[in-house]
Amino acid sequence: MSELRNIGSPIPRNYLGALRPKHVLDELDRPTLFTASFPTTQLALVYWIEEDALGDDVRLVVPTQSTIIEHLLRGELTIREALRQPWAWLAFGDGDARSIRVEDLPHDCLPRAGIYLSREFEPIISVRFTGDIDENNVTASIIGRATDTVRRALKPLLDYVTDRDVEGRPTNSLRRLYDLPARRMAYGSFEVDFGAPAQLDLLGDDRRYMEQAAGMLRRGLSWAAETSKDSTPPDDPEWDAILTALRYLVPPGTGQVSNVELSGQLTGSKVSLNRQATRNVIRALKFRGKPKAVNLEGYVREFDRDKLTFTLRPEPGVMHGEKCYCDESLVGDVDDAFNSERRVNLIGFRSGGWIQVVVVEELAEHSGPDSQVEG
Amino acid sequence: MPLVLPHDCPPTDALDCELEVYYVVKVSPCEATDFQTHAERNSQRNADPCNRCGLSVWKDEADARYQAGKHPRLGNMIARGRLQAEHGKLKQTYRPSHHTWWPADDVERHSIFEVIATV
Repeated sequence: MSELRNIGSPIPRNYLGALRPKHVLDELDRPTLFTASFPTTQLALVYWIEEDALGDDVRLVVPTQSTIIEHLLRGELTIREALRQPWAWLAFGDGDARSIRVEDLPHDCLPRAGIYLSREFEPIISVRFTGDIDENNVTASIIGRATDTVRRALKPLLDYVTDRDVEGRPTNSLRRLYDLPARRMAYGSFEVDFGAPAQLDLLGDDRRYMEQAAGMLRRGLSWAAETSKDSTPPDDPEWDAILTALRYLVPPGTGQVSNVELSGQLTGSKVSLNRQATRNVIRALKFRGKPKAVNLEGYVREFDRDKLTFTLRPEPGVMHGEKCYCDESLVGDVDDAFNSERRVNLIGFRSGGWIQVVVVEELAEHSGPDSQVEG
Repeated sequence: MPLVLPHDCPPTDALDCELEVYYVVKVSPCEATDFQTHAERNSQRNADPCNRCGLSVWKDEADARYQAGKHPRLGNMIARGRLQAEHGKLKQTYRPSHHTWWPADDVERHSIFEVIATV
């Protein structure tokens, strides 16, 4: 006998009526989520929980409204949220029924949190803060951090994958991919779901960029979530971007938020980052914080006189290059090199995916193969 | 196949198995009881007679995970198996990644699968 027959109190068999599906919202061999009419004509939402030992279905029945169903169909409400109603009943295949409270059900009798009617509605990414948080003490700083953390984390990843793209990428267009629309917020702990950007190019570059960024994110999360670590991640620009992203995703070292759960299409599966992950990331960033001297040759392109940034490309027409920045004292030298389009020798320090330039010298002529000295 | 199948089952457009698929199970390593059809369990007696003789598998692991998330009592583990021609017939049913697998009767179904993840 199902242990669910011991929850709540029995009600007359005919109280719930026949529960014939009116609108099947989901099915798998049987209707697994559907609306039905109570004998009172009120609308019911019926969720299939399990099959008991005799092969009969056990279902959860809650009152609902057409607006809730519309929200479900549009992916604006999770199934679990739709089922959390103050009144609830269990309906057994043999006609027995019980009046229950949803919160008295074993946790595996309800869909997991964050599950929508269709996987298409699954958030691009979902961030959930836990710790010393409940619905009465969610501060503005927690909300601000939760809503900002994804934007800050995705930007370095997308900057990295698009910088490698030979066709480049306009800044405003890229912003759409990391400044995602917040689609849903839930209190208790604090959770924000981010949906897909508007007008996402699902078949083109947008999807490719997001998939590459997701791959980097998953590698980073997998690394950060390991509690003990004997090795540091590779010292290369890709991991510079990954660690920069992780810095925004891990929980702060102190304060209310002690754990960050990430899930959704970008992460693949649910990942939990605790303060050990924070220590892992900080240690790795410190290790990489030491700038490395570099000596490069190339051509100054994309000089931004306001930001004092430019790209050093190894050859004219080659779209990839090193991101560089300088101080005011070098503006004249960089400007000359930019305007003359002559090959330059550049000395600086590499740190966090950028090169801080300290010397720029125009070369008289092409000096042969590219040289690069780091150390 | 273990039970007498209804007429025209598997459907004529079901193909010989040749696909890597994912399946929701309750225990690891996989056990035969997790691989019984509705017909074998005598459940879903009003469902489509042919579908009752098949098992739900997914081509995409993420879809199998999502289904386990929708109905946790189906199981909380994802098993992966490579179905081949001798394992029976397969047809895409319901949503794109979902397939119904009609196992051949001499197949030890659970031995084809290996649990790869817990959800």
